[in-house]
Amino acid sequence: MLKISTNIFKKISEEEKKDIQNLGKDFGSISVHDYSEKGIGLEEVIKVIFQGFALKGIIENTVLWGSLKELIGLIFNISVKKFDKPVEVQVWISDASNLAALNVVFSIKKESEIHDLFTALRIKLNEDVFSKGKEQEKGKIFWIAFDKENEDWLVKVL
Amino acid sequence: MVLVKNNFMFIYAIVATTSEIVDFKIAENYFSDILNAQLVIFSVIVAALIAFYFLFNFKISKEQIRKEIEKISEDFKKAIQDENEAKIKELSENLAKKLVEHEDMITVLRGTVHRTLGQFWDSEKSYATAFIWWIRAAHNFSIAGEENLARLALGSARESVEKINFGYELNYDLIGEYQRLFAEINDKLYKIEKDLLDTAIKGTLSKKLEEKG
Repeated sequence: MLKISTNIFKKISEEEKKDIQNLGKDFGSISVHDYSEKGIGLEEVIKVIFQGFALKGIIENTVLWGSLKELIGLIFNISVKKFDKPVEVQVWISDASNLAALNVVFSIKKESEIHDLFTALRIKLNEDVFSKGKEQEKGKIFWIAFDKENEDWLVKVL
Repeated sequence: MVLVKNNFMFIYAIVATTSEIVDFKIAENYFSDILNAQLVIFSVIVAALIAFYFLFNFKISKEQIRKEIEKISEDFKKAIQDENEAKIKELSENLAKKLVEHEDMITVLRGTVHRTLGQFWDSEKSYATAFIWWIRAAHNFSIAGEENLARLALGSARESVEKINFGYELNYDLIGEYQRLFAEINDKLYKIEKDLLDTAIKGTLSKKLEEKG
């Protein structure tokens, strides 16, 4: 089951939810959920959590990879509409379809950033995880995050 | 007749003598001119030789003086350079030492500020925010060689992570920074603390997301 959870769930119209589902239909049926957490200043941070998206299959398929980029772009644009100021959309892709869990985290402030981030991410995932069959290491958790200071994807294995 | 003859002879003698004197005078002038000319030539040659000798000596002396001055100048320059280099080296070493001392002090100060922020966010129950401040504090303390403070900060980071409901609560923008800083903390020196923190993070990431909507 593919799920997208976000803390702006209540701000998204039914039409926008349908747009998300339609754009993501290549992956299968997507359900959109509410995600909330308590904390100071969190209402200004947009969090979007993707669950059930099998990254290995998506990376191997150019169409799916492109669709994932477009889906994130759409959610970013919907988020921008909800606020009158520049927004930061934080994305977490959680993939538990392999023996090892994969977590990809990053944030975007401009739609144009998505392309570069995804290009580098694809290379990183292929080189550090999939080409070495590391996703089959049972019980391991891969945490792939983007380090803005060095502008590089980092992989942490837990 | 005899008188006339004598007179004539006398006159002749006088004339002859006068003629010889004239000849002699001419000869004397001639030789004198030659002598004078030779003297002039000789003087010119001598003067030329003296001048040449003087010029040659002057040039040699000038060249020698120039070389000597250059040599002295080079030696002096080298001596000053050596002295300066030695002084600069000494100053650099002292400065580097002082800078390292101050840098460490600044790093510790920075770590202390981060630690305070970690404590603040913990007190606000924003454990996800506190976590990154603890990591920053631990990183600063570790690079400044403050082992105890680094261990304490790593321990506090673990406690914060254990209180987080889901990994999703972390600031995704800062996870890359956490990974980079955490990797820079000495693996051998802080192995226990780092392993415990990794275990805590793994536990937090393994928690399933509660669904709504």
